[in-house]
Amino acid sequence: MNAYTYIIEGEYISKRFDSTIALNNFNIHVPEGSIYGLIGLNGAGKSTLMKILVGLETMDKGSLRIFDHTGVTSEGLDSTGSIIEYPYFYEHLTGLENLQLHASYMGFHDKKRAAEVLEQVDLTAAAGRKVLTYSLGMRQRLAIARAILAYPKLLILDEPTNALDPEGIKNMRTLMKEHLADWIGIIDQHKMVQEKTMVEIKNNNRSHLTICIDDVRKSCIILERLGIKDFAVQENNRIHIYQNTDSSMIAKELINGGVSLYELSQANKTLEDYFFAVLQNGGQQ
Amino acid sequence: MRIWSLVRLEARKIRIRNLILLDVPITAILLFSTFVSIFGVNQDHASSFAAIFKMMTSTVWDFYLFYTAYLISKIIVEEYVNHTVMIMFTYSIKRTRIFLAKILLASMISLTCQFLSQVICFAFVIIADNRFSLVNGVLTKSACNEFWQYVMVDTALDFCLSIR
Repeated sequence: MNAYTYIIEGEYISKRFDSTIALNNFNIHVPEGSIYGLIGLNGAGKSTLMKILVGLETMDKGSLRIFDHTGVTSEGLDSTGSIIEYPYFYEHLTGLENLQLHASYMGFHDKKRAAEVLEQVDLTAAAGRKVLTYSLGMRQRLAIARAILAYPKLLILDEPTNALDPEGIKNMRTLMKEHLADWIGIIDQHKMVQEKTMVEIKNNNRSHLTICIDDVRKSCIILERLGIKDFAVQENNRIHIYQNTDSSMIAKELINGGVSLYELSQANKTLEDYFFAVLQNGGQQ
Repeated sequence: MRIWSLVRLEARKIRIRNLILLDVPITAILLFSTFVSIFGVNQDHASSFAAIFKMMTSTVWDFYLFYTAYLISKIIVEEYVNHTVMIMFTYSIKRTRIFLAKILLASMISLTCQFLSQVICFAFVIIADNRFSLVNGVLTKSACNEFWQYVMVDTALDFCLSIR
């Protein structure tokens, strides 16, 4: 990971709340220009980490560099947009007034920008309404508008789909569709257990066809004869075929070639499957 | 960011008009209280102006202590209750400056309203006495000076308490 320039670099961060450990020697490296997804079970320490990053909590131990400055600095906060926990607003102000107020506090004076971001989150029609009349989905979108208002270099979103109804989640995913994570960090037991690019994860976690046979050597020859090159021999007479092929055709050719086929199954792995596999293997995958 | 800019931003967040309008019923209650106190004080003093002013300024001050507490709850405590303080703390502004701006705003509103109430009550006593000769004795310069001294002391005390 050393080839990257990091926008966030945290080493051995620890944080306790009385006797409860929130983060324990936690390391994080967020490359500049990347979209970094943090995955962990409830209570793993994700929100605490994000609060530390925006200065809402202080760490007990460890080092943190954001934008090449040590710790959370005013320069860093000026370039950061965030949604932490629930989207809170000044309820008696309108959506537009909330954004204008935020812009003033951020020292950002582009008057057209508020209308621009409201349009981006599809809230132009509701801009003049008081926030207390907004649904949770609208608040969440307004929170996103607030987070991106001042063109932040760092955007921290803590569970942006939290507590949304199915329609709200759908709308949020539509809004975020062009911004899928390219880095993933997995937290377990208050520690970072893995940081990988999505490309690496996809390579380690590709969908595949598993065959269990009696003769691996003969099976490999048959597969090559069929033009299948992307496969890997596993333990216990198993072969993983990553290439997209017709499974019935493979089964037919193997049996015709005199190979006994004991098992044939398709594994379509999601990021969630990968996450649980990493947790089960203690951070290794 | 300058502290006065922060005070202005704080003022944008609250319904300042409603808070200032609250001064109207308070002043009306104070006028009634002053009117009633004139009769009580007249029974004990041959020349009552100084005693009336003393009682009036104390009553106004007492009322505005509660008003200041209400303002502080609106301007500071509500930020915690509504969790909007979390947004405030993600800005690159020192927390002490944020709170200083809030306290300055609460003090400015409270002091202005208190001063206005004091002046209105003072004018009420003078006008009422001119028309209906309610107060024993005559209005002296020293009684007026005493009134202004009470107003200054009360205002200063109110400011100190709101900062505390």
